Formats: sequence, C-alpha cells, structure tokens
Amino acid sequence: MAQKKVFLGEEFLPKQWYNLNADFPTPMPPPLNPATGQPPDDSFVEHMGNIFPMNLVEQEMTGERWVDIPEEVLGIYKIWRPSPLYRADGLEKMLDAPVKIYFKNEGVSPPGSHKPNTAVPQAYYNKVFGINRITTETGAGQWGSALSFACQLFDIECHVYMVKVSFQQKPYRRLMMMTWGADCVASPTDTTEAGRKVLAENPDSPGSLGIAISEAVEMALARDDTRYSLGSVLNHVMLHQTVIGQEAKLQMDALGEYPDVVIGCAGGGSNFAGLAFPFIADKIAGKEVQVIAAEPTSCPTMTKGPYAYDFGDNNHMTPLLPMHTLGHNFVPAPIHAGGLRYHGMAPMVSHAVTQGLVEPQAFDQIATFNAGVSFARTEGFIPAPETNHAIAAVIAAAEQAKQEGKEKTILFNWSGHGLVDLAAYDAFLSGNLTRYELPQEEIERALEAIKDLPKIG
Amino acid sequence: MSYDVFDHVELRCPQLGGEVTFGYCRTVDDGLPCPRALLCFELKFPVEQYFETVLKRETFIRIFTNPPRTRLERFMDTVTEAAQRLQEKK
Repeated sequence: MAQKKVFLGEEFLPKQWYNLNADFPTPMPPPLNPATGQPPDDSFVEHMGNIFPMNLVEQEMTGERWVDIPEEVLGIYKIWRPSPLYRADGLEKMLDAPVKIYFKNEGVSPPGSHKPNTAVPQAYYNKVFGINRITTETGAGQWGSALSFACQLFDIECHVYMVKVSFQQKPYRRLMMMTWGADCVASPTDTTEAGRKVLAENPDSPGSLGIAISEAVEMALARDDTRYSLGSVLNHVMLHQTVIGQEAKLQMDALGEYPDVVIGCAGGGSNFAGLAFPFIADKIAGKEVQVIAAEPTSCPTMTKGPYAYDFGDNNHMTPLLPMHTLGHNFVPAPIHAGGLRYHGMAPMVSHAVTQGLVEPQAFDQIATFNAGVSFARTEGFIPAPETNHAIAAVIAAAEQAKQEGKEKTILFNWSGHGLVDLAAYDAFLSGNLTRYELPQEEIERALEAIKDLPKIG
Repeated sequence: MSYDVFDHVELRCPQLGGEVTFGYCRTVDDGLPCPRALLCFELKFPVEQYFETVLKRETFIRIFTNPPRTRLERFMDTVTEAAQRLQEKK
C-alpha cells in the first residue's frame, strides 16, 4: 500500500525563508512611487515606514537569498508546522490517469489556512519595532482571522476593518477574530475620514475592499504606535510563505519523488509563491518542472457562444482558454491575454510569469467547485473555495497526462480548509452559482425594459 | 422597471472571498460598477449588454476599457490619499 502522508519532525522546520528575488534571471523592475512615477527614493521609504514597521520595509526590499527566521517565530510555527504532505490516492483513483498526486496540507494551522505563515512574522516584526497596534482590512475574514491569531500571540492589539457586506453575511470568521481578541468592525465606519465620507453619501453603504483598505491605512497613519498589515501581494509576504515549499521538497525527497508539475492557486499570489518559489529556484538552476498558477477567471469564452462551447467537457473540469474578447464592440483589458497583466497578483509572481517560469491557467468557479466537491468526496477534506482552483488545475493536468499517455507526479498546495466557507458550497450545491437560467427571450425582455432609463455616470 | 433586473444573480467575489449579488457589484464603487463586473458576470447573463444599456458610453469606457491598476498600485494610491486626508485634517 502506498504511503498516505509524510510528517516531518520539528527539527526539519526551515530556519530561513527563501527569497526568489535573488535568483530571477532578470531582476524585477522596482515599484514606482505613485506620487512621482519614479523608483523609490529615501522619502518614499520613509513614507512606507509610516505604514509598515521599518524592519519589514527593509525585508520588502532585500536582495538576500536567505533570510533567517527568528526563534520566536519558529516557536509559534511549531504549533502546526511542519505541515503534513498527503498523497491524494483517492483522487488519483477517481481520475484514472497515469499520475501521482501529492498535496501540502496548509489547512492544519489554527485559522485553517496558509495565511498565518506571514501573519505571525508580521506581528513579530511589529512587536520588536515597538508597535502596539496593527490595522488591516479583510473581505470574508481569511486574512483578518490569521492576523488576529498572530497578534494575540504577541500581545498586540489588532483592529480589523471587515467589509460590511461580509460582516453581515459571514459571522464565523468575525467570531474567530473576536475570540482571538481582535476588534473587528464593519467598514465603512464613522471612525475614519474615509469611512465618514462614504457614510455621508450613503449611510447604508455595504462597503468595499477599497474602502476597508482606506480606513485601515488611515488609522495606521494617524497613530505613531500603529502600523498596517497586508496579507498578500508584497514581497515579504511571499518570502514568509516559502516555508511551505521548503518543507514539501524535504517530504517529496523522503518519498524518493520530485514533482513534474507544481500547482498553486493564485489570487494575491502568496500561497502559490509559498509552495512554488523553492521549486522555481530549481527550475532556474536547470531542473525540469512545470509550475502552474491557477487563478479565477470570468472571461473564458466567445461571448455569444453556446454554453457547451465554453468548456471542454460537460463537467466543466477543463481549463478555460486564456484569450478572449467580450464580444461585438468591446475589447477587454488583457488580463489573461498577450501582455499578461495580472492586476491582482503579487509583483514577484507576475514577474515569474513574464520570465516564463510560471504558466498561468484560469478556471471558472463552476469548474473549481466541481473539483472541490470531487476532492472532498475522494479525500475527505473539504477545501477552501480558493483552494478549489488548484484542484481544478490538478484535474486538468491529470487529464492532459492521460491524453498524452505520460506518467506525471503532481504536487499542489492545499492552501486551506473550507469549513468556514460552507455557505459557498451551499451556493454552489443549490445552484445559485450556475448560469442565469432565464430563457433568452426573458433576458431580452428585461434588457428592453431598461433601455429607456436615464443613463448612469 | 428599474436597473435591478439582474440584481439577484450571485457569484463568489474573488476579491472579497465571499458570495455577492450583482446588485452589490453594479454599485460598489460610489454607485458605479466594479471594474471586474464584466468579467465576473459574463458567464451569468449578457452583462456587457446590460451595462451598455444603463451606463453612459464614456462611463462604460472609463470603467471597463482602461487597464486595471495593479493591486500594489491601488494600495499605493490609497496610502497617498490617506496621507493627504490626514494632512488636510491637520
């Protein structure tokens, strides 16, 4: 019987984070100061030092290949790290493809996702810099709960602006945050200029991520003892997550395996980076490994094509083609096409794509939920909806291996469990996420009925 | 009849990490749509046609045809704006 999982002893917990910036064949372009459009100068760095503690600003810009993980952080990582590596033999059996599938289970952390891999060090660096209070924003609460957990361990106040529409709909992560001692409020609030401005115009505003970020940043700037924390996109966030891939390499090695394909879902890029960057280092050094970033898309098809044309199969499991137009007189910004502008992704991940080190694939949410349900029914664990994108990519890679008649070893990041996201599964299982089912003539009637309304904007 | 004919259509917002209705997405940005709305709802109903019907042409172009700012760019803009707000308050 094949080995199901690999645990590493605590002594194998990585002692350093890996910085892919040191190994890019072509260096990353520097971020530009939005005020000047120029690369950052000293005043810009000082400006950022008002947002983040300077030790994290320095880490953000470091070119060092390896960064030591502080003992205090290692001590907390040990609560759930090293995380186990599993073989998904149940999924393999279902797929009946010539593949071995392994996944790194990041759902074993207290908040249930990979996010505390960076929340803990961020809280630590704030603490040693003398910061007493951290602000952040959160949508449905994944990041907010991870940061709340981390702040509690370092005795730092945590103030979370949660987008009101999520605050009202998603009580469980809000309750997790409160249990860990955080102050979680529904944004917009009347405690910031940004929030007051929105409420003055619309007292019933359901909020947005942009408003919540504005409030959190404003609160951080307003007090000397307060800084802001971001759970994705930034270089130091990617850096902190690389414990995942380093552990996975040791675990694969213990099995005598090396992956042909490495897959992670990529929204802001941090869980993808965490698993993939240590393998991309190998790829840069000449190793053959395909690295796939699976991201959500909603722009998959020729606009007016029949539904069956959208997908390669009836189960909506195949990847959606990355190049499309949105129809008659509109050409969309090239999010998935040509220029590969990844507007939501971390610059380091985007750079890895432009360097040809990472292959992006996009999956519709129906395909991803189908994949997640298949995973839950074969492996038991219920994945986070974001994780389902990676599973959809795994299934697509397995199907491809089957078509090509090639044996492949696939490794992916199971970035979190979905036990606090069951409302999403409810929406999927009850059919609310599927296509709008109204007949074409009723849609046309609806559009006809609004055509004479005053135009907005 | 009002603009809300498709407001009940639901999907999972990739930014928020939760389910939202089209009614939220079409008004989330100061009463105007989220720039992602065309992409997100394309599989659900003729969203492009909807917005062409209800938005002024220049608004449609401004929201949907400009390349989206990267997340980092938007964050940096937010920082700059917040600093300005606090400066004005002083």
